[in-house]
Amino acid sequence: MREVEIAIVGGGPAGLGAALEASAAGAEVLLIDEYPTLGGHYYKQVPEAFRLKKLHAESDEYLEGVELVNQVKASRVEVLSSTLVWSLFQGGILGLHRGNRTEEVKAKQLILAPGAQEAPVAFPGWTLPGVMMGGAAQALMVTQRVLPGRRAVLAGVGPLQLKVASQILDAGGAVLDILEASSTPPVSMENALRSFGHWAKMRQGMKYWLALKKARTPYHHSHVPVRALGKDHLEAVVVAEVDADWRVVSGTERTIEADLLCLSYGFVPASQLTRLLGCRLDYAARSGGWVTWHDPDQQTSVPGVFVAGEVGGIGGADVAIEEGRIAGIAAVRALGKAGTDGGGKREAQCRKRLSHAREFADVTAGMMQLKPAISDLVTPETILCRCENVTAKQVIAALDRDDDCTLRGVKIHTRAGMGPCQGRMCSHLIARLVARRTGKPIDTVPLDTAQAPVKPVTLRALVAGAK
Amino acid sequence: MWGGRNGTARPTWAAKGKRILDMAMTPETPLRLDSNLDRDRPVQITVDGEPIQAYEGESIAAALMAAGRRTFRHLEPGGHPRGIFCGMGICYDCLVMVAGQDHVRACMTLVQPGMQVTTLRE
Repeated sequence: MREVEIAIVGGGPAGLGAALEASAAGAEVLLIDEYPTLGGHYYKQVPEAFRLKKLHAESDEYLEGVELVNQVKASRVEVLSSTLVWSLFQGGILGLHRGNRTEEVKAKQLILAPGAQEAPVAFPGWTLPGVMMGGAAQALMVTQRVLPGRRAVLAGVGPLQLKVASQILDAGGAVLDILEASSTPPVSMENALRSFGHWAKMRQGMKYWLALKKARTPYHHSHVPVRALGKDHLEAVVVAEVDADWRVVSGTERTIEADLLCLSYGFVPASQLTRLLGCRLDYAARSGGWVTWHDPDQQTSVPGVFVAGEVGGIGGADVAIEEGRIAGIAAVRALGKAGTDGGGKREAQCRKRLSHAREFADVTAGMMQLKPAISDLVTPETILCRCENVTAKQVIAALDRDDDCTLRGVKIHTRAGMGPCQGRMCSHLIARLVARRTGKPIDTVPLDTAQAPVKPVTLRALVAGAK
Repeated sequence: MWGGRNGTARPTWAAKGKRILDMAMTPETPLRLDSNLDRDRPVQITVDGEPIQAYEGESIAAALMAAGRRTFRHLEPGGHPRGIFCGMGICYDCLVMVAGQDHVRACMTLVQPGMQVTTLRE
């Protein structure tokens, strides 16, 4: 089995930061990423076969991503793209899946930077084609350069949907409405004051806001989509007003004909790999839910396993990259190598930038929390588990059968969470539903144990790897 | 039509929607964006036997969307239509069959010349 000093899982901001610092400090680094191009979701890059006419015509963050990826490519970091980490075993062994076969690599130190997923919100019709996560629309536009719909409605919480909306406008689509669930819009005097000193972020926010003003895009706070309508794909969205606790105000429903509904209800840390290793997780409502605990050096409760970025709490790309850099430096230190960090100066700079970035992350965190009444959008016939087509009615029947019903109990009774996505969508919905029905705090509803393979791997690939 | 619980939509909203539609939208708005991109390597694929023009580097999902196909499979019982949802390879909703291999994620798989894609009904 091949051995490396440091293996990094995830090629987004956190993984790139970790790879650059660990490599600069003299360690042998293997960076593993599931996608064909590095950058993760924040620094999405076009495929290698695409040729951009003018690089400088791209957005600032696209250019930042290009710069970072180029630095990694120019470094001694070895990159394994299109490679899934399907399991982690004791002793620092990673199970890799690439090109239809599996293989194992042993790492002395492990840095996990798996990022986050968007938080699912269910309502009748949310499984229709044309209803998608805001990030899916972004991936189509930024990476694939395809417009996901011509008439879009956007819904969610926080500032991200302003960005998605301006991207759709740029691409020539129409944004018919932006629905913000909370009662305060993200661009407000209060948030501007709280963002004092974060000029780049404020400039970015204002840029999106002005683009939307210019296009006269309707914007409604205290509104959510309550139903998506259509036969074979989305044809219309029914929206309604909600009160300060997100309870639908009756008699306020309106229908908008649309072929795209983007959902941006915040993020959830991708904790499958850290749970698999038995790392300690804590519940942090402002940071996306179940976050992987780490010390100031980014080390988890399992020695030799570090985390960086969203897995340790949603904080955005600026936080992720600095946490990555710190994890990279700390992992080299854990190897017992002196490194080339002149008396910790680089590390001190990272920590300074990290605390600055965390200030802004705290402002956005306040805008992205879901209220319990979001679960009330679910009707008995609403599908909660998209993989196994399990409805809310079936889940509720399972919950009623057993007072202490956990996510695992629901899974055994209904198959919800047994499909190929391994509960990445439904577990969050069911946990919210349990909390809503029992009145218990959501942190008393633990996530189910993560199991290998964390994503489906064919038997053929496992057999090919065993030979 | 799509009446809400109280039947009709308020005229202000309808008017707003119509204004925006009039402003920008014709059904011909191209779905492939090429303001800053040269697509110079076309690739022919088939979807359910029908030839579709795609480009090297595109995912199956993007090629299908650009061809105006948003529904990738139907889940039985009930024939529930599904398409792109997470767009990042975690939800497994955009599954298609490629050259006899089923459960291929359309959003994560790049097109290859002559690729035969079949939408699933399962």
